[in-house]
Amino acid sequence: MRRNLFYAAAALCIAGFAYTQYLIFYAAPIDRLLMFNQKIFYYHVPSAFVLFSAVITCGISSVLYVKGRQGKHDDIASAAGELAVLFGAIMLITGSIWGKAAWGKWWQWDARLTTSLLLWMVMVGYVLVRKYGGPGSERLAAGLAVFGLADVPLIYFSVRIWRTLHPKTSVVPGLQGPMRTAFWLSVILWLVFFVLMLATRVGTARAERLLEETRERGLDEGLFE
Amino acid sequence: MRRQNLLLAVSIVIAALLAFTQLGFDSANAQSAPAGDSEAPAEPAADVEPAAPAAPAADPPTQPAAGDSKAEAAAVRLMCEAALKKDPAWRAELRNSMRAAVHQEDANLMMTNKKHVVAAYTVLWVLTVVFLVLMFGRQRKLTAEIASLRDDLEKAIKDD
Repeated sequence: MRRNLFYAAAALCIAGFAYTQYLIFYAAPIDRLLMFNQKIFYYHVPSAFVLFSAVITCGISSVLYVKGRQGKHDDIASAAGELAVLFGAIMLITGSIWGKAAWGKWWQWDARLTTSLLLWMVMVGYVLVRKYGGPGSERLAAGLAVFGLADVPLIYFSVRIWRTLHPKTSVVPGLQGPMRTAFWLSVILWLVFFVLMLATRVGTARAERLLEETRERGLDEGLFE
Repeated sequence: MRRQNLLLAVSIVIAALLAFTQLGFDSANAQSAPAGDSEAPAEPAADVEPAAPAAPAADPPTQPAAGDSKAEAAAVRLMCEAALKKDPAWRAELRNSMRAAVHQEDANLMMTNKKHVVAAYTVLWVLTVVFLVLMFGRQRKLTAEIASLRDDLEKAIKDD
């Protein structure tokens, strides 16, 4: 049942992405000010939403792991951390390309861009600590995840606190007609896709952990050489 | 295992198709923009040029040197306008011949930076597909490890 639901959601994502491509490139009108490069917006902003979801999931799971030391929370945190790196990279690269098109520069040390880069680097650090930190690195990584979690509201409100080149948060509520449909459909699909990838990665992380535990127990009991 | 491979293959094909759609869109727009000028291919560009001296018509013909030519141009312009008023078919023909050039100019302006859009979407899909491939590779490795552990366990039970 669960597996069927997973495959149904995956099929929905594939069909949905194809449909959003149609909406973005053929149904949504071209923006009068930003011209054609505004089309990047429809996947750039949803990737930021998914990044925030991944970082929040990773941070909360890390806090729960530090409190209760349950392996399942650590699995979720580890999986979400990797996805945060992926979607952070997508957000930064698409944003940089858009910046080159709109501002003529690949990068600006603007508050939102800088805090976003900081978050991504924290999450890269998280993944590296998890991978190469050795035994007991989970707690150190959990600390990094909490630091990343604290950066999320800073990124969101940075455009209100400081004067930035990056557009304000009022852009999304102002969308109308096919632009709004294309945008929100993209957001929903990317979030569903994120949940599917998270579920798959959590399953893998859990299996890896159980395998490791089984092997260690087998070695302790002299079953394996 | 077979399902995973199938899913992986499907995701790669979809990503390739999506990237191809964008590239296709890129060239389709390059073709669709001038679609309207099939009746008057290169002429409009030449037609637009003579319209430029229209501005001096507002100047009074008081200046000595350039004044004569300006006054002449204004007179020609007035004659042309009068002729256009008399002949609606000519007016329509002239307007149609310019329409394609105006459309092309607007289309070029609108499609500014399309390379950036294609680049952004390509990067996005490539990163996603690479991540999926790595994820499924990891799962495959894990399945192999589980199989090896099972073998070790069976061997250990047999030895006992």
